Order: sequence, then C-alpha cells, then structure tokens
Amino acid sequence: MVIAEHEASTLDEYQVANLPQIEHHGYCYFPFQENPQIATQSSGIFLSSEVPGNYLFSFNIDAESATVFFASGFGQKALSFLPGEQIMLLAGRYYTIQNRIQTHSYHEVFDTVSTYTPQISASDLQIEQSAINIFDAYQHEEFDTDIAYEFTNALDILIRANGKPAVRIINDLINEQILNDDIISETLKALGRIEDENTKEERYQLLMGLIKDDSAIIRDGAVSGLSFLDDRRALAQLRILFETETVPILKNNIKVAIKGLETY
Amino acid sequence: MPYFLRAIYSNIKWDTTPFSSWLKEGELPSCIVRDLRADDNALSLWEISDDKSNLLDIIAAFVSLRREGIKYDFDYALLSANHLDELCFTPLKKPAKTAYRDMNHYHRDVPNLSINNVVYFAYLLSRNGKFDRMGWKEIEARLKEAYTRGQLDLKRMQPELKKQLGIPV
Repeated sequence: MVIAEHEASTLDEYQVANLPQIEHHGYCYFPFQENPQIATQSSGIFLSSEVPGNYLFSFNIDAESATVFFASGFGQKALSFLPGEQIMLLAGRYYTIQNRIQTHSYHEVFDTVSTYTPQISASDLQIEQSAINIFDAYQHEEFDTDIAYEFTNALDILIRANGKPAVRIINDLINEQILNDDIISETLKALGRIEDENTKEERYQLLMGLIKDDSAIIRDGAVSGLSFLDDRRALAQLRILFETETVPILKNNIKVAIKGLETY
Repeated sequence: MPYFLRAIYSNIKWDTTPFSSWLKEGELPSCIVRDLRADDNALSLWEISDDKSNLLDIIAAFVSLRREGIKYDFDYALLSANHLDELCFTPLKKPAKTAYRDMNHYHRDVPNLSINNVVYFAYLLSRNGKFDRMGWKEIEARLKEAYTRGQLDLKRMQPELKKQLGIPV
C-alpha cells in the first residue's frame, strides 16, 4: 500500500486496526457494497471525531493506493475511490459521485459539492421509508392505549420483517430530531413491548442510549421501554437515574420500573 | 375519607417541571386534555377505600377490558373525596362492565359537566391529586390471581390479553 501523505501512516494503522469497531460505533457505514449499482471494489474510512488531528483518509484496497486529504472542522465525512476516474464523497448520511480531482484541499473536495444523495442502500431505503410512513401516520395522534397498541403493532411488523437494520434505522430517525418528543417516547415504549429475541440487544442498547435524554417525556418513554423489555441489566443505570432525576413524577416512575425489574 | 381514582394516559404530562420555561405559575399544559375525556358529559372515576386496599384490584379491573395485552403500565391520579366536595361534584354509582366482576360496583360517574367543570376538575387534580403509576407486572400478577380465584368473566376479555395471561382462549 502506498501512502500519499506522510501524516497518514499513524492514522492508517489506527483505522485498519479498528475498522470493525468503527463500524459498530457508527463511524463507518458502507451500504454501497450491498448495492450493485454503486461501486463494489472500493472502500473508504470515516474518521472518528475521537481521532486526534484533522485529517481525512481514504484508500483503495484493490489498487493498493491511498490518499490523504487535510481536513478541518469536519464531521462524518470521507472519500472513497471508485473504479475509473471517479470518487465518492460521503457526508454524514449522504453521498455524491464526482470525477476525481487532484488536490490535497479538503475544502476543495467537499465544500464545492452542492447536491448530496442519501447514503443508504436500496433495502435500507425501503425500511427507512416504511418507518417514516409509520411515524407520519401517528405523529399527530393523541396517544391512548388503543392508539399505542396499533402503533406498537406497526413497529413490531417492521422490525420482525427487517431485523436489526430496522432498529438501527429507527435509532437514526430518532437522532435526526425530526420526530416530536411524544412519538419518540411512544416508540421507546413500543420497542420494549416487542417480543423478538433477534433484535432484543439492539433495542436494549437504543433504550439505554436515551434514558438520559434532555426531554423528560423521552426519558419516561425509555424507562417504560426498559421495564417492558424486562432486562435486569438496566437496573444499575436506572438506580443511578433515580438518584439524579429532578422531575418528581418521573422519579417515581423510575422507582416503579426498578421495582418491576427487581421483583420478578 | 375515600379517594377517587382517575385513569390518565401519561402521568408525566401532569408534572409541570419540564414546561417551566414557558408555563406560568398555576397554569396547566394543554397536553393533559387527553386525560379529561368526558363521555356523555360525565367524568369516569373509581372509588378507592381509605386504606387503598382495593387499589390494585380496581386497576386490574380497568385493564381487564383492554385488548392491548399486558405490557402497559397504568398511570392514574388519586384525589381525596373531600376535594371533590369542594367542586360540589357528586359521584354517582354506575357499575362498570369489566371482566373483574367484584370490582365493577366501585365505578362512579360525575355527570352533567360543562367544560368549565372539567377544567376546574383538572386544576383540582393538578393541585391536590397524587399522581402515580402501577407497574405492568403487578397488574399481571393480580389478574392471574383473580383468574385463579374464578373472579374474571372470561367472555368479557379480549383474546390477546387472555393469551398473555396464560388463560385458554
């Protein structure tokens, strides 16, 4: 492998060594490899914001070549070489394909792009659209137990049909801040109710990730979801949350959830 | 002095702390409207004994009507009877039709309410009510006990709930 820039050597070792972990932590996500219409022979690496220094690094395994762009102030942006003279630019959950250019300027590469396409595989796009349809249908509902039942069933069907990617996509939609607190809270309760061993771990992680959310309504949904999921691993975090919770009714609700998990 | 139970969908909405940045002191958030439904202009309440010994059974009775299955916590507010007197509200006996037969006679209706009455009730509940949640496992256990004791009218229960309680459908 040829490293085009001297600064890349450390990053190269870091990224290659950590590639599987990067994917699990969400820094690196390449649905393109699932999509035959887009390059199958290329790869790229997202730089984690935790990596010291401001560099953007991309390499092509097949060609055994690498290019490093100096970058500053970027988020989840990366570049991937496609066969021929094209490159794929990744920005968050979006991508664009352009002709390769000769530059070491990060800004020249990324900041001149006007249109990015959603970075998502065909199958993920379908799941995402189905999830959005469900959220759109219930976004303005006044939830009661009947509506919550229907909403839970809709998400249940989606998750059973699509497995772990569906949970990941629901998590992405929650994090995009396009849903209101009520629908997120109901989503969290529904995720706890669903009886599906295949996705239980992913649903548990999603719920745990939101028990400290800024919104009390979302925290309440996460606490209820964990109670319905009935996974005693949550107890330690719930006990900590109980100590720090400042909303009185929610504090009591946490106590109820803890009691439920402890009792049986 | 007995209490009256009002079922609510989400007790967290009655806690004004999260809305303190915009809600003026003494005001209520509009999102609680969902919990003030008054079919036939009557508020549905349940009478709870002084020692609250029938509380869990009454909640189990309420849940026995549901089609949704068991994994739903039950949020509620308790109001002391003397607070209802402040509004000159007169709860009338109106037996419910839940599957838990022995609990049905604890149901009360407060009839002939204007929207103003309902709003006053909301203020009263917000100021003096005790908001709480009963966990789904406690409700499940009590319904199973009631089933074992032959206290449930199975014809009134939905198949999904019976299935989750291990009751033959």
